[in-house]
Order: sequence, then C-alpha cells, then structure tokens
Amino acid sequence: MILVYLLCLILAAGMACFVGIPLIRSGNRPWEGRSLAGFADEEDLRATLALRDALVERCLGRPAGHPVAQSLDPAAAEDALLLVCQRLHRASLPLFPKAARTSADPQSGSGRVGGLFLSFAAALALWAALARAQPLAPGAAENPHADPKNQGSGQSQAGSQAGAAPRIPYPDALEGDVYLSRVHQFLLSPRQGNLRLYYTTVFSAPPGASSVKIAVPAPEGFGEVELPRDSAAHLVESVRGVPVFEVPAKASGATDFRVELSIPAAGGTARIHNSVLGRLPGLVIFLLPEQDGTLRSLLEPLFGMGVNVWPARVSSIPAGFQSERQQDEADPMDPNFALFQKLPPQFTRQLVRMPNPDRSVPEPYPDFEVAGIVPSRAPLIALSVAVAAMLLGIALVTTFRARSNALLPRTN
Amino acid sequence: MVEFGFFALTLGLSLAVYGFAMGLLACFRPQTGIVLSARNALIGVNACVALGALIFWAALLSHDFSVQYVFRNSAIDMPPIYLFASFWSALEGSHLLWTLILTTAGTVALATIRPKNLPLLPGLITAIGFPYMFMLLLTVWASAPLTRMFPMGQFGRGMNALLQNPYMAAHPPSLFTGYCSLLVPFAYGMAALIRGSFTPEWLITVRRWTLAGWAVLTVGIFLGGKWAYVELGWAGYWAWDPVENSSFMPWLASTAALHTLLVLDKTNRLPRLAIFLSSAAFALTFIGTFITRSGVISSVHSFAESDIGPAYLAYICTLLVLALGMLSWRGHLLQGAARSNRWTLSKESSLLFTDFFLLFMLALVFIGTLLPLVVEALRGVKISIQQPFFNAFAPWIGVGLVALIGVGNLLRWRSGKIADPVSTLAFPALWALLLTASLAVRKELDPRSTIGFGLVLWSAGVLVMDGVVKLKTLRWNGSALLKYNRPYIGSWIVHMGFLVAVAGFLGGYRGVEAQATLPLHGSTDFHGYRITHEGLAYKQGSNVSLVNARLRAEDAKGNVVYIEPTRSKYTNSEEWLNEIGVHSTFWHDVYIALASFEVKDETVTLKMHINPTVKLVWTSLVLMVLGALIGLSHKLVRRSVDAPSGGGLELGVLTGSVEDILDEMNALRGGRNALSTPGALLTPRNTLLNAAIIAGFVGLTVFGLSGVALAQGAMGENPSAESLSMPAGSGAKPIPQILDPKLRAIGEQLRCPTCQGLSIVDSETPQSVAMRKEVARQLEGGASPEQIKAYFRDRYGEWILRQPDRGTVLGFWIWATPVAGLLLGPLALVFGLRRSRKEAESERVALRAEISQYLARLRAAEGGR
Repeated sequence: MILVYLLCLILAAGMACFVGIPLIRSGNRPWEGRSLAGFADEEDLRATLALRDALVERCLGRPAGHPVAQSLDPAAAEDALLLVCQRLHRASLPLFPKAARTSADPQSGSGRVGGLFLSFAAALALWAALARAQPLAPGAAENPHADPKNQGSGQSQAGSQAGAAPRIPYPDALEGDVYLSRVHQFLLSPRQGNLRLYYTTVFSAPPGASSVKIAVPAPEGFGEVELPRDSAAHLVESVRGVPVFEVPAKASGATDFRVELSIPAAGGTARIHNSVLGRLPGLVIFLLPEQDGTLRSLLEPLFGMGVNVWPARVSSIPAGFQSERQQDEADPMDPNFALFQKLPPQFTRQLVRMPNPDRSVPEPYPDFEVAGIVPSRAPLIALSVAVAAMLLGIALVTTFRARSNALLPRTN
Repeated sequence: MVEFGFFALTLGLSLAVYGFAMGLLACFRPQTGIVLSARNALIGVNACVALGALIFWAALLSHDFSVQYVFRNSAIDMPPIYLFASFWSALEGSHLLWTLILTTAGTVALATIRPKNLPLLPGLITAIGFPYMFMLLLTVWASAPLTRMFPMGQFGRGMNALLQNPYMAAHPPSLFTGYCSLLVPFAYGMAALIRGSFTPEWLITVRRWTLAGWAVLTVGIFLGGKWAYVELGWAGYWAWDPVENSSFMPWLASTAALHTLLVLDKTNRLPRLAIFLSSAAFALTFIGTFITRSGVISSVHSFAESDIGPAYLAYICTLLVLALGMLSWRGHLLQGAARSNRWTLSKESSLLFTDFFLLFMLALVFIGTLLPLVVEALRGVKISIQQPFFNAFAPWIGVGLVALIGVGNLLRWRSGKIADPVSTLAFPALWALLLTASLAVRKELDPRSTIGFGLVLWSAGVLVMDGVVKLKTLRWNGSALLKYNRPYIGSWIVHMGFLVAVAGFLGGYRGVEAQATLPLHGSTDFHGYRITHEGLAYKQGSNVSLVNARLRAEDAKGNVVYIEPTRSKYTNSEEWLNEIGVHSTFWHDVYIALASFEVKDETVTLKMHINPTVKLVWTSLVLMVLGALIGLSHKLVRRSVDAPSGGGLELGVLTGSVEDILDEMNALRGGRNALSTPGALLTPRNTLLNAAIIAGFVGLTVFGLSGVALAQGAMGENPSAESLSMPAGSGAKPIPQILDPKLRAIGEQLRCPTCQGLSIVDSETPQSVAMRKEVARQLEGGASPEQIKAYFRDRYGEWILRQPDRGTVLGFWIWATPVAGLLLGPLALVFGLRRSRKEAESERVALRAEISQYLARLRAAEGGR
C-alpha cells in the first residue's frame, strides 16, 4: 500500500505548504483590520470624531471646519452632537475630545493569554480525541460469505475439486496426546489491516477416543482466535506456538473442526509461515477470493503479483503447491442469477498441495505472502494529526517570536 | 483509493481544527500570517472534502462493494443517474454532500471577501471553522461514508426505492445548498459581533447570501413537495411532516432575516435582530437533520436514521448558546443597536410586524414539531400534533402577511404617509370587490374562499399600484427603476409569487378525490373527463418491474389524452410503489393513482383527483425564484434608490456612517433628506419604458389571478352524483365512489397508526383501511363524531388524534398559547417598542445633560480667557 501512503504524503505536503507558507511569509505583520467596536472602519471613526469636534465648535458659535456642521445652526448642531455622542457612548468611547482614549477592544489585556490558552487547549483536545480514536472497525458480516456457517460448503467444494481422499485420514501425533490433522483448508479473507483465516479441518478420531486434542497450524503472529458459536471444542493449551483445542470426537465417521484466526497486515502485506511448527502434513488448501482492480491491472505487469495494491493477491506460489484461478460460476437456479450476470467476473485463487502417500517425505509449512490487503487507517490518522500539529507549532512559534520582538499591534 | 479518500477527509478535519484555532487566535492577536494561514486551512478543507467526495463517487460508480455505504445503498443493476444520486440517499453520504457544499460555500465566502470586509476575516474564519469541525468529525467518525466492509458484498442492496425519482435526485442537493448558504450570513453576523462593528459592505454581502440561500432553499422545499406529489400517491404536497417542517423553519427565519436586513439597510435599526435571525436560520438547518437522523421522530424521511442524535443536539445547543451569548455580550456595540427607537406607522414598522407573523409561524412549527417529544419525555404521554393543528393557525398568519404585503409596500420609510391613497388603496379595493363578488356568485365560492381571494386580489392590486407610484416617485424614470432598483423589482415579483401561492393554497389543498374500479375497456366520467381503461402494460427497467394502466381521458371538447398511472416494484423491495399518472393542463391537474390491478382480467382500481390550484403553487415557485434572481442581479456597487417621506430621492443607508447620523438627525427634526438627488425628466423613450414596466406589473398579476379564477371555476363544479352520472342508456358504466363527507371529516382527525403525518383517509395501510371501516360502521349506527373519536382515543390513546384534544388540560394550553400569542403578540410588540423608546429617551436626556455641562465648561473656560 505504498502507493496510498505516497499519495497521502503528497497531499499532506501540499496542504502543509498551502497553509504554512503564509505563516512563514507574512509572519508577524499585523493584520490590516483592527477592531473598532461600533465603527465600520478607522476612516468611519476618524470622520465621526472630526464631526464631533466640528459640532462642538458650532455649538460654541465658532466656525466649524466641517461643511455639514457649518451649515447647522447651534441648536441643530447640539442635536447632531447628541447623536454622535450616543454612538461614542455605545462604543464605550469618551464623549469629548480631550479625554480621548482607545476603543474597547477584545485584543487588549487578558485576551492575549486567553488566545494562547485556547490555542493550546484546541491542540490538546485534538490530540486527546485522536489518541482515543479506535481504528474504524471493518463492517460486520454483511453478506452470507461472512457467516462461518457457510464455510462448510466451501470446504466440501474445495475438497471435491482437489480430489478428496476416499477416506478421512487419522491425524498425525504432534507432541504427547496432541495431534495435527492431515487435512487443512484455509480460507483467506482480507480485512482492513489484517487477514482473516477461516481454518477448517476434518479427521478420523483415534478409535475409542471421546475427544481429541487438535493443534491448529496457525501462521506465526496469529491472533483473535474465535470458535464458531455452536462449537463444542475449547482451547486447552499451546504447543510449539500454535493453539490446541480439545474437540469432541465422533464415534464413527469424520470429525470436523473449524476456527477463525487473523494475522496482522497493517502495511497491506501478511506473511503466512510458521518456522516453529515447521511442517504441515497432508492435504493443504488455501483459498483466496480475487477481484479485479484497475490499479492492480495497471501495476501487475510491471511489478508482478506481489505488488501491494488492493485487491489482494498471493505474492508467490509456495513450493510444492499447485495454483489455480477459478471463476466463480453462478447457479442458474439462484434467484440472483440475473444480477450475477451483471457482476464483473469473480475468481478464487486456490493453492493446493496433495498429500504425499509416503509419510517420511517432509511436508514443510508453506511460506508465502498475501499482498494488497487494505492497510490499517491508524497511520493515516496519525499523519493528518502530525500535519495539524506541525502547523500549530509553526503558528505558535511565529506568535511567540512576534511577542518577544514586541511587534504585536497595540490596540490604539 | 478509498483509503486516500479517508485520509483526505481526516486531513480536512485536522485542517478545520487548525483553521478554527488560528481564527480564534487571530481574533485576539490579529497577525497577517495567522489570519492568512487559517483562511488557507479552511480553503484546504474544501479541497480535501472535494477529493474525498470524488473518491466516494468513484466507489459508487464502480460498484466498490468493499465500501459499506456502497453495498448498502447502491446496486449493480441501478441506472447511472440513481447510482450518481445514491451519494446522498442515506445518512453518511448526505452528510458528506452537506459537508462538501458547506465547505464550498465557506470557500466562496472566504475567497471572494470584499476589501472593506477584510477586518471581519478573523471572526469569519472562526465562525466558519466551527461548523466545519463538527461536520468533518461526523464524516470521519460517527457517520463515515468511506467505512470498509470485509468480506466485501455482492450486488448491493440498492437505493431506497422511494428515492428513485428525478425530483428526489435534485431535492437534497438544492436543500443542502440552501442550508449551507445560510452559513455565510451566520458567519458574518458572528464576525461583526466579535469585531464589535459592521463594515461598510457587511450588509451588502449578508443580504446577497441570505437571498441566494433563501431562493435555493425555496427551490429545495418545492422539489420535495413535488416529489411527494408524484411519488407518494396521496395527491398532496405538504403534510406538515416533521422533516418538512424542519426545512420550513430555516426558510421562515431567513425570510424574516431578509426583511430585517432591509430595515437595517434603510433605517439602520434592528442589527441585533438581523444577526439573531441569521444565526437562528443557520442553527435551524441542523434541527431538521437532528430530527431526521436521530430517530426521535418517525417520518417519511426516516430512511436515514442513526444514533448520532445526541451529538447533533449538543452541537445545535452549543451553536445557539454561542450565538446568543455573543449577541448579549457584544450586540450593543453594533452600529444602530437600540438607535433612536422612534417606531411610528411606517414601512419599517410594517416590516417589523411581518417579522412578527413569520416568527410566530416559526414558533408554531417549532413547538408543534418538538412538543410531542417534550410531552412524552416529561409526562410519558404520547400526543400528536399534525396537519389540523397547523392548518388552524396558518390561514390567520397568511391573512396577516397578505394584508401587510398590500399596506406595507405602500408605506414610506420613517413615515406613515401613503402616496395617493385613493388610487393606491381604494381602486384595488373596488377592483377586488367586484372581481370577488363575480367569482363568488358564478363559482359558488364558500365564505372562507371568498374572503381569501378578495384579500389576495386586493393585495395584488395594491402591489400593482405601488409599482406605479414607485415609477411616479422616480419622476417616471423607468430606466432608473430598472437600473438602480432591481431589488425592488425582484421583491415585487417575489411578493406576487407569494400571493399566487396563497391563492393556490386557498383553492383546495387536494382537490376532489374519487375511486373507481374499471374492467378492461370500461369507462367512467370524472369531473368533465371520460376515463376509459384500455389495458395494462408490463415493462421491465434495469432494476424495476412496471405495470401501467393505459387510460384514455377525453374532455368535453373531445380532446383526448392518455394517462398512464403505474405501479412499480424494485428488485430490492417487496413493496409495490406508485408512479402517478398526471395530465397537467395550465389550470389543473388530473391526477390518477393505480390503487390496484388484477393481472387475470386486467381490472384496475383507480384513485382519481382533480387538483385545480396546484399549478398555482408550482407557478409561485417560478415567480419567487425569478424575483430572487432579479434581486441578486443588482450590482453591488450600485445602491438602491428609494422615495423618502420628504420627497426627492434617497440613497439606501449604509450602516452607521456619518451620513446616517445626519440623515437621522434630519428625520428627527422633520427636515428634508440630506442626500436628495434630482430625478430624470419624462422623455418619449421613458414613456414607452414606463408603459412596458406597468404592463409587466399588470401582466404578472393577471397571469396569477386569472389562474385563480379559472382554477376555482373547475373547483366550483363539485362532482355531485348528478354530474357524475352517465347519459341515458349508459347505466353499465361504473360511477366513481366519493368518500362520505362525514367519514372524511372524522377520518381527517385520526392519524394513521403507522404512517407519519397522514390521516386514515390518506393512508392505505391495512390499519387505516380497518379504521375507516370502523368509522363507517359507527356512523351507520348513528354515533356522533365526538363519540367515534372518543372510541378511538380510548383504544389507542390521545396520540391517535391528529390534534390535541381541547378538552384536556394539556390540549387546552397547547391551543390557548398560540391564540394568546397571535392576539397579544402585536400588543406586546407595541408596548415593547414604547418601552425601549422610553429607555432610549432617558439615555438621551443623560447624554444631553453631560454635553451641556461640557459645553458650559468650555464656554466658562473661554470666558475666563
């Protein structure tokens, strides 16, 4: 997902320049619009004061410099003076010339401290809010494919496609009474910032056993282990870094067991490997739904399957596995068949390794990557906060520098 | 790219926070760097949101079902136009659209700020940044449109079928544009308060934005009405639904703000009221969203419900508290605040009363919409306040406003003098009297309609005469009127549009309704039309199946038209929806809904309406928007010319300039205006122009009023049993069934238990149908209307009544309060004005004493020398 990060960085840098340059260029020059409560602008205030002075002169019977005031008789001038004084009074200005002082101004006094305090408070509030923010949870199971119950059908389909064995094998002993099954299916489902694995296995329980301790061959770094709601199995221990479940065994026929896991893919890539466990015996199937993506189709010829661009792909085929891409066919009896026709083709990547009849031949744990998973959003949020923090920092430095240079406008 | 879009929105939020913080800092410490950086940050927010919106649109159009919103609100089989419109078909998308328009409005305001308004920029940035932060916080956090969904879905659930209509595709963007335009007047108001004064161009800017917002909001409201008219199948366009009310409230507030800004412009009064109304209009735009999205009230718009109600409520309260706090803290500093307060009979007084009626209506709608919630929260009792309650007061407010349009326009600024009262008042009265009498006799108008039309006709006549007087005052200088008085011409047309709308409302809201079941090739006569059913047709759209009835409608003159009411079923919905068949003539609509159909024998049941004056309602929109556009076309550098009480010409007053002071002094002393300018002479060219202008005034009036007459004529011929009966020998034809008037009267008082805002007469839900049957059964059994209402009240509770019961204590107060307000409000206004005049007088006395002392000191000092 390097491309997404690159685009984000370019946007962030562009915005930071657009917003930050005025801070550096115009710096601490005072803003032209000063606060003159009650007056349109400085010109208006000056004109009003000039009129007041002229009216006072006229009231005293002297010639006034102002043409309009000059045209008024003393009584009319006093009426006009009353209106002028009313305006000055409401603007909290002194009424008479000799007592002139500055206008009521929100910039004065404690305002400076308040301004700084508010800036800090805003920055802290932003930091606190974003630090608490959880990464957005991916959507709940919105469609039937998310339902673990539906995974069973995939298993049987995959099994038949891979040429299922006529009988279900017994599991291999892993350590003590812990077994490792010889049939493994992993449905890989990319999520936001992680890869979900739906693991399904089936085995024949040892004769007479009421339950079997089965190790789940989870890749390294797995987390969020979840059992289906109706599962009777339970987690008992951990062997060689993988979880072990005690699964009730069926008296006859095959025992199946399902579990969900996830492995992190914050950067868009998840590695499937397990060097501690080392082996994965028997039939192994990995399934990965594949969609077409414009960007991927553009970049794949240049950078190969492993390019870290959504939709996700298996970056390389592990040794000993056969890879096949199959188109999902619509069922003509499906009520949504007409809609299926309108959809772009849907595919599933299958990685299959058939069991070796000779159990002495090593069957190593596969090692491959799934690239193009949608990355976690936490770094994006952090980047945007960093941009704002940087800008706030520059602004505050500018303000402090202006203050220390005593260049801030005085409110006159 | 979705992640990139998310980042753009997150960065937008960061920049909004930064812009707001820096704007606030700049209010206290105005450094150029800080101010410009904050401005750029807010412009950058717009760019980020636009980028996010484009990526969101791309996700919709490319069916990226890994995005939750795309999966839930669009589908693979939707036509491109609705795919495009699905952007705003649910909460998250409509929020993003709102944010996009809001930030665009803010950017335009910041980028086009006029040089003389630059001192307001720090305050402007702060006021614009605050709503930005809230909207972006929602867009990134609680209502995020770019949330991913894994495993990704297939097909998509599709857009709400009711919204797949061209009017609904245009309604939200226009409504949001209107809402968002009101951001700018609000921000300018706050900026003026922060600064403690207006700038010379504050008023011009605020008026333009308010007018633009008002016009677009009007279009949005009308588009919503038109959607309801053609999509919901009940032949109405306004049901006082809570969400309709929510769009109406900012409209009322902005209308009042426009009138107050005019007073401020011409007399330099009421600056605080103007800012309060601008702030209220903007805050009220969020009330609608709160009501729609919070789920506190179920509504026809409740498709967008979520749990963001508390956040909205907190935001609205904060906004109002900040606005009111700033007004009370710094409002007195504004030029013109509590100025002389000499309120005599004058144009400004009439505008003040116009404000009263508009605000009364606003309070009524506000209380009527929210009171049921409050009562339920406080007392645990559910009540309904619906159409009958609002309709009980709206006509009286309409009467007040129509009368004020007539008289108020004639009055002059600062003077109750009416130029040539005989021509301007008596002549229109005579004309209105004659025309109304003629209509009443010929068309059998009821007393309510007679009085209403009479008043509308008189007011329209007075408007025409006011136009003539205006020309006369300008010494018959028509070109001056066209060049310098476009705001006057615009407002003239807007007011005429309002009168036409009132006439449209008067003509009968939903006309005449009847129901008929027709076999294939069967026909019925309805209101002068012979309707023949020629068969059903089946069509298949990309995501919809359509069944339409082909109906041949032949009028008395033998003109034939085909009307095709349709039922539609979308692939994502189990419900059959109505697509109305409408035959629109200039004066009325023949409106037919396909209530049901039989596939086997092609029998159809039709709900038919003749809506005689609905056209006037749509026509009024054209007039109002035309008027607003003409008003907006007035160049900023030109100031409007008006006729003062003392004769001559007067330029519009700027806020608080020295000229204003002298001007007011002249007015106080009863002298002539200081800024009189000569008018143009009457020339042959001007004579022709004047004639054209007067013809235009008369033409627009006749256009509206003749529509009223003809439409009312169609209304007058109510479809009695005789008029609907067939000619001899055609007894086999079905006769349309008209609902028993008694049943209708009672049914309109009872609400549908499941629909919001609809009575059991208008609703076709099984519960409403059952309730109608029960009412009919009880009527047959001889029960009185009160007994029937009591029967339903006992079973469903107070809530089933569409208006509060006057017999209960709560109901009494709900009814009594608006009545008292309507009666006592004007008196309170008069007393309030008198009191404020006394306060101003005492302030003047104190100041005069101080001045006298000062002058005496100066004289003494001069004598001493």
